[in-house]
Amino acid sequence: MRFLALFKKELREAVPWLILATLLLLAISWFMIHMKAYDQSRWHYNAISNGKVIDTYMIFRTDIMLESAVLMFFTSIGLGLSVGIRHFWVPDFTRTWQFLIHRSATRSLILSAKLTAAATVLLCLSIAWLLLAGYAHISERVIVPPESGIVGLGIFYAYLGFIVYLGTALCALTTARWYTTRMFGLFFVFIMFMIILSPTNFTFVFFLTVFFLAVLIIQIYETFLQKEF
Amino acid sequence: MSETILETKGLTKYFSNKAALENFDLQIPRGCICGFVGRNGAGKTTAIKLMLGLLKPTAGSSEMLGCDSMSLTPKIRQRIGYVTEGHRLFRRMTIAGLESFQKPFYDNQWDYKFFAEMIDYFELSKKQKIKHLSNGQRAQVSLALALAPHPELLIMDDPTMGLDPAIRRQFLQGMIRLIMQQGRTVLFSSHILSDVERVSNQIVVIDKGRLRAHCSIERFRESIKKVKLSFAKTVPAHIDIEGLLNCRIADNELELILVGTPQEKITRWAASAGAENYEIVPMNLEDQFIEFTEPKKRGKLFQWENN
Repeated sequence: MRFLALFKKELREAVPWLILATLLLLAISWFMIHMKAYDQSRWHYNAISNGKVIDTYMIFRTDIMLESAVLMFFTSIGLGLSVGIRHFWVPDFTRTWQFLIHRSATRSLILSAKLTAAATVLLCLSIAWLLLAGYAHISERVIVPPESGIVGLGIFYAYLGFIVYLGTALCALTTARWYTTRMFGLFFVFIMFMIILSPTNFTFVFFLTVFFLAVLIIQIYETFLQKEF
Repeated sequence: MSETILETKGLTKYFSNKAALENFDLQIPRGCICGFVGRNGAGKTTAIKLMLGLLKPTAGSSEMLGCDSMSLTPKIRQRIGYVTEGHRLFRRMTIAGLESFQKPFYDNQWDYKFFAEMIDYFELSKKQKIKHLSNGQRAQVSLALALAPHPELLIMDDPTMGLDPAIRRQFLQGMIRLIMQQGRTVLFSSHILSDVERVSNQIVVIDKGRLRAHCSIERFRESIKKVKLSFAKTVPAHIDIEGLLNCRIADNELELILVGTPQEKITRWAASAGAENYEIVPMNLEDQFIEFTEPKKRGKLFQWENN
């Protein structure tokens, strides 16, 4: 019950950002998919009516959801950042930490409710992404549906959004000055992105993110338990 | 002997190299209504936060309901009500939302009827959002939230700050309601001495991070005296009366602020110093507090003080 009360409160605070991010993702991606579908059908029609043999790779060289995946990347990062700020920076400004901390719940429970709410929010974003992919699959306008790899990439981006959330949380919880180690959390995430975006194999990237995730969670947990409010 | 519900031993807190609280020893027995007073920056909020385990002490320790403040368990926290400074609540929630958020933390302790009554008493609606409430209304919601689980110990950090006299009175009535319930212990910090006098039976005075006094209100009232002495010629250069806190000389009049000096000693000293007569000037609690905590040497006077 206590966890649920905390979880609901944290989720409630994050939902406006989730709605905004989801609407942005769905609206822009829907438009991009339709534009791409129109291009595909135009080339397809021209190729058939002229009876030419054309290089299909040239026509369909990019996945129908590739641009949407790029959008998903930025949306999830933005969402992770916004929810991180809402959960860990805003209570500093509004001075509500004391009210939140002084209750019959352990600090670990309060923290886990925050992290679970953020994970739920990013999970919802990835569900929106899956719905979008589902639409691209069943839509009659789309000639070549998206590949499963691209769909998986979108979900991976949502996971990266969660790592950004953790980085933001660590920055907010650290009491160091901003020009010293306060930004360590986000700097750590930035380094991770630099490695991820360089051409490397996916397994390495995945395990690297798991490592970064573990480091951030341990650090946040320790900081939150020791923090003075 | 009554049970001690709150105890601090040598509690010290430094922020960087500045002492916010130093060697603070306090014992509050069960059932006591304790007014915690001090000037701005005296260390009241720091002391409260240390007692609640929200800050870590640099030295010393603090215990609440027999449990160390740094390891207060959820069960112990459940028995302590806390009204935060400035009544900071979740702005986007409604009063009803805050109630449903708050009650799972109190198992069967949450008194729905009491909370509804309090909200009704303060003429608020549960549908109102916190962000639409005034400072005074937030204070009332804050008090109702803290009182609804009937805590054994209620700690309030400057609960009447920024409230107009009418709201303040209403707020105090709410507090008195809690006090009427037997066995409740209240510690509240305030700048408003009349509130402290009205509600509490004990006073704790903190000054520059140090405990200056902890006694009953009556004892505090009796101990601090302002004595005006008139001299025929000049005021003696050397004043060595017991319990001297402050003195002011104007022409051939001497004003002494004394702490704990018995009447007979005042009479004896007045005679030995050659005073023509002396009188004990009545003081209210606020005057007594100001005199008690007035800095010995103030850097410079404000312009209007010179005139």
